[in-house]
This record gives sequence, C-alpha cells and structure tokens, in this order.
Amino acid sequence: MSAQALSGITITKNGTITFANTCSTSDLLIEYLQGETTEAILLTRVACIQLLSRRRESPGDFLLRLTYLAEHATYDGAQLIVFPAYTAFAYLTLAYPEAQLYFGPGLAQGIRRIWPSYGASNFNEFLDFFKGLARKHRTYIVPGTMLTPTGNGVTNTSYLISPAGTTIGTQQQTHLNRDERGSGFVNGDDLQVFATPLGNLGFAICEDAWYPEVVRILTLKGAQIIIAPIAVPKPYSKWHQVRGMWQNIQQNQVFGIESCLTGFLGGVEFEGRSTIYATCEMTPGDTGVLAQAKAAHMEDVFTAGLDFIKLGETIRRFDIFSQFNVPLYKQWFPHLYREYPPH
Amino acid sequence: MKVLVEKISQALSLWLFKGFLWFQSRPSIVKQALAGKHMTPSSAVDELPESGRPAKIRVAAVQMKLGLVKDDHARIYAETIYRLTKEAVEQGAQLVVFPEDSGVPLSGLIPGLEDLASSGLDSAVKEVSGGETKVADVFRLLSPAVKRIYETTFSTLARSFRVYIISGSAYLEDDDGKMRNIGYFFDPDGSIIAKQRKLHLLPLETKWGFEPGRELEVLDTRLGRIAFPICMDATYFETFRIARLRGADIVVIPAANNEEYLFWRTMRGIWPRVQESQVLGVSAHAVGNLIGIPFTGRSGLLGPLELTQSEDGYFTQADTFYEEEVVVGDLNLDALYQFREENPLNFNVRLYEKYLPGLYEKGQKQRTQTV
Repeated sequence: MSAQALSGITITKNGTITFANTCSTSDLLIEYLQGETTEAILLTRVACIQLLSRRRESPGDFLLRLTYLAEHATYDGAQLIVFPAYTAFAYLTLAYPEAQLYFGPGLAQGIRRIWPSYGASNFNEFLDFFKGLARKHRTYIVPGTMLTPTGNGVTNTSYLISPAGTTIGTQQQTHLNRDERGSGFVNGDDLQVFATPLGNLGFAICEDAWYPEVVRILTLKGAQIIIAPIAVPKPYSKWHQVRGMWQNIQQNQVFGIESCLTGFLGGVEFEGRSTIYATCEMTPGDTGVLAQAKAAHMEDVFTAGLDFIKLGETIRRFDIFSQFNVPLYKQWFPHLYREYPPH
Repeated sequence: MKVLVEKISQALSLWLFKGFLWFQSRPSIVKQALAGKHMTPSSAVDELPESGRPAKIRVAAVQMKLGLVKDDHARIYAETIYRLTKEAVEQGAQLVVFPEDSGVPLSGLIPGLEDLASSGLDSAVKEVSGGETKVADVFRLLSPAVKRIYETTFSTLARSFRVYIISGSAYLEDDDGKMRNIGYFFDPDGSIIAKQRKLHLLPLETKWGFEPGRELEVLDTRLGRIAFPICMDATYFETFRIARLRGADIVVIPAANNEEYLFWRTMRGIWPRVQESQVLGVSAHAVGNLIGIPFTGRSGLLGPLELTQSEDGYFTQADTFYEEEVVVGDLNLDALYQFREENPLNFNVRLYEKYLPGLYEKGQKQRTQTV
C-alpha cells in the first residue's frame, strides 16, 4: 500500500469515531502491527448508485432523485459515491428533449450541434450540482460520464470530484465497441491514477472493463480501487459481467466499483447489476462480491467497506504480480498488437 | 543432498539407485504392456483437412485421478494412460488432453515416497537431506526415468490410436539443465511436435527450485492453430492475448489445482481468458490425492458466451470435480470465426505502446515494496 494513499475511519476503545483523512491507513497499519495503537482500522466506505434512467422526467425531479440517492449513500457512511455511465447525458436529454439525441449515427453530430448553445452550459450546471453535493456531504463523487465534443466526435468522459467540490481529474473511455464507434465516439489514449486519501483510484469506463489491458495498466500504475461507470444494453447477462469487471478484480487483486445504468436512454434500454468487488478470498461465500444491487432493472443504492488490511494479507499470501513472465511479455508486446489481426 | 544419498545408499547406492530407475523405465516394459491391448487406429484424424483449418474438431479432456504408482511403475502407468486414451478415442476424439502433473504419479519410483511425504514433500526432502536439497532435485534424480516412461507411453498411444495427444505435464530436467514443468504435444504418428514449458509458476514451485519457461508455443496442426500453456498460465491474460495475437484459435490448459473446490476461484483461470481473447478452450484437470495433496477441478470445453447453448461459456463440462471422467465434445471453428467477425476486438495500440511492457517490472517492484 502506498504510504500516503489510504485513509479510513478509526474507532477508539471508548467508541469515538474519527475520520483519518490526515493520517494514512498505511501509517495506522504500521502502528497497529507494532502495537503502538489500539485503534482498530476500519474501512474505506464506498457507495454504488444504480440509476434508473426514465424517458420522461423533469430535469428538476431528476436532480432531486440524484440528491436523494447521494444522501442515502452518505447516511451509510460513504466516502466515495459512484454514479453510472451517461448520467450527465441523461440529464441533457431530459433538459433538451427537442434535441432528439439517440445512440446511433448522428449522436455525436447532434451533441456537437447543441453544445455551443446549451450543451456546454447544461453540462456545467450538472457538474456544479455534483460539486455542491460533494461539498455538502464531504465525499468524493464520480458523477458517471458525459459525452463531450472532441474533434469530429464525442468522448465518453468521467470526472472525479473532491469533497471540497473541485474536479480532481478526468478520464476518457479508451476502448470502444462497434456501436459506440457507430455513434461517433472517439477513444482516449491514456489512463490516469488519482492518489486520494481513500486510495489510488483508476477508471475503466464502459467497454474498457472488457479489455484486461486497462485494469492491468491501471494496477501497474498503482491503482487500488477501480471505478467502472457502466451502461450495457439489455438483456442483462451475469456471465457477461463476470467476464468484465469481476475477472479484472481477481487477476489484479484490487477493489472494484461497477455502477450500472438501467432504464431507457437515447433510444436504448439498459440493464445491469451494480457491484462492489474484492478478491474471492475477501468476500463471503468466496464470490468476489462485497455488495450488489438487488436486481438488474431497478434503481438501487448500496455501500461496502474496502478493507485494505485484508487486501494486503491476500496479496502477501499470493502476489499474482510476483509471477509475471516479463521476458515473455517483452518478446511480444506491444508489436503484436500492431500486427493484429494476424495473417 | 548428502543425507539423502546416505539414506538411499543404505539400501542401494545412488549409482545403483540410478541403475534401478533406468532398469525400471525400460521402453520395452511400456511396449510390452501395450502390445496386448486392443488399439484400433482411429480414422477420426483422417477426416481433418490436409491443409487449412477444419470446420470443427472433436476433443477429449481427460479428468485424470492422480495417485502414486507404487509397483511395476512403467506397466501400470502405461495401462492407465491407455485406458483413458481408449475411452476418448472410442468417442471419436481427434485430440486427447491430459492434465498438468500427469507424469507425477511416476514419482512412486522412489521407494517409500508416500511415507516420507506424509508431512509434506518440502519437509520430507529437508528431513532426509538436511536442508541442502530442493524438491526439484528429487525430480531431477527421477527425470531420466520418468521421461522415458512418459514419452514412450504417450508416443506409443498417439501412434497406435492415430490421435493427437497433449500429455499434460511432468517435472523434468530441461535441455539447459533447469528443472521445469513441461508438457508435450504428440501427433498421430507418435512424434513430439512441441514441448511447452510452464510460463507462470506457483510460488511453491519457485520455492521448490523450478524455473519458468520463456516461450509460448503456437502450432499449426490439422486441428487448427493451437497453444497449450499450463495451469497458472491461465491466471494471466497476457498468455492468451499473446496466443490469440499470434493466431491461436484453440488454447488448451492442462491443470492441477491443489486446493478445495470453490466455484468462483475456479472461474479465475481459463474461463475469463477464453472470453477476453475470443478463443476456444479446453481444460483438463487432475483430481484425486497425491502424497497427501488433494486435487480438484471440473474439466471442460469452453468458448465465448455467445457460442455456448446455455450462454455460460461451457460447451460441455465434467459432472464432478473429484471423479475420473473423460469429457468429449466438439469445438466449432467456423462458428468462432463468424463470432470474431461480428465482434471484432478493437485494441488501443497507442495506449499499450505507452505502458507495455515497460510498466511490468515497475509495477511488480512497487507492489512488493508496499504490500
């Protein structure tokens, strides 16, 4: 664990709870192991929002719903709240239904067309709303993703907002499927890891979750919590989800927060079962799941504690990274990718 | 080593012991054992095209029960492999896959190994050698004999049944003198067409003194383009990605999981690898108990979710995770190619160029320092 990366809540013998934002969990762990403190180190608590997108709803009601969902999460002690992909796009479509924004050919062009007149201001309004929520609840918030113009298309971009209400950073989706390309999406070419007192955070947005290179690179860069704002068209497939974030978490020994969009948006119906992941060894029933939405088609809020001490123990028992065959990878990467498809 | 030698020398000098191993592993024993067996050459392989990939192939994953062969080693081992191969061939298999450690039952060539290892192989070796010998050195001693029996058995059966065989693996001394976990690929003429060294080891194997391999074999055969890495190699997406990018359509994983069967933990191997790299997969698991170590796993044939009838990624799977079974099924290469065409992988090469492979060593060190 990074020396300054982590913090959580500590609880003293007399039951006083303190937030350890100024003291890293690693420091506490060392003190704890050395017997210099009797404080039990608890958890970084994170919340996953499974948002139901509705075809008809006033923008005000939509924001009210988001407020309620965020408050629900903070009542459960969440220090980080993650909303699903396209949350901002949902707000845009509700605020400007006349723009008729639908996934498919013409989406990027449509967004680019309305951006100067009201797209940009709508998006700023949306971000300001979340910055306010973050300040009010003193939590980190990932307000899902937004489709923003770039070059000839749009990027699907996520934002990380601090408890002070500032934007810490952004991450663009780096891998696109055929439908996304058809809608004019353009991919980003880099992956960032954000050091926060909660842990080092990285993003795997939508299709990125199905390319193992993404979470591998993020983890090699030091990410400890992978945030995955997701939106997958129905029907929901448990196994499709397992081959995405679930397996990424297992093969990299990190935590994951997969927040799924459900309902109708842009002419598509989405389903997904949001999940907070850890390695099998750390979860009840060995499932790799710390907490999960009750169903794939409804709104839900849930939280889970991320126990970095247990994660450290898991890795010390068997560090997957210790058995990398680096000479093999050096022999073939990255040139094999350039030569794809093989002839 | 000194203490071990002294122990063995009490009954037989090391020189004599090596002679004993050599005598016990005579190819004629295997050939005699198999000579009287009913082995009709299969015509299944002849149905495969001489060139180009087949539309589909029939594969058998042998879920083999491991147990030390204590007496009459070469004969009993050959008969066991014969019985399992025959069962596979009779169901039309063109490729028969055995599990990792399929050669380990031959460790019974060491007299009294089972008693010695009752407290664990590692501590048994330490006890008899005074701590100077690693487990790999014991396998080194056995290596020439195991290799003779192992190669003769599989080669004879592949030739006699006219079938492709992936043997699983055995701990053997490699050409460079290092001890490795090595798998064999035999063609229907009984020739070795490739050897695959395990590329990612268990920490225990590293501790025991084994070395990882350096090359991933990807072979053009009449069955299609195949890679056959071993067990832990499937924990790493890199193995399958390299295989796929080098044109593999089928990736075979001989496996031996020495732990309690827990469904979700078993999902961390070949299953996600087949999905993310869009290949067809075969897993052949060892089961049973070998010198106090339990082995579990459900062998099966796998493919992308979209190609499997129940959309769970399995074409067929063993009924149990603890019994000996031969799982036979078809792998449809035409369907795979159509699936790939409809669902192309869109790599972000610019992203990978920034980080791969440079980040591996840095990330590895960083984790070691901070955990």
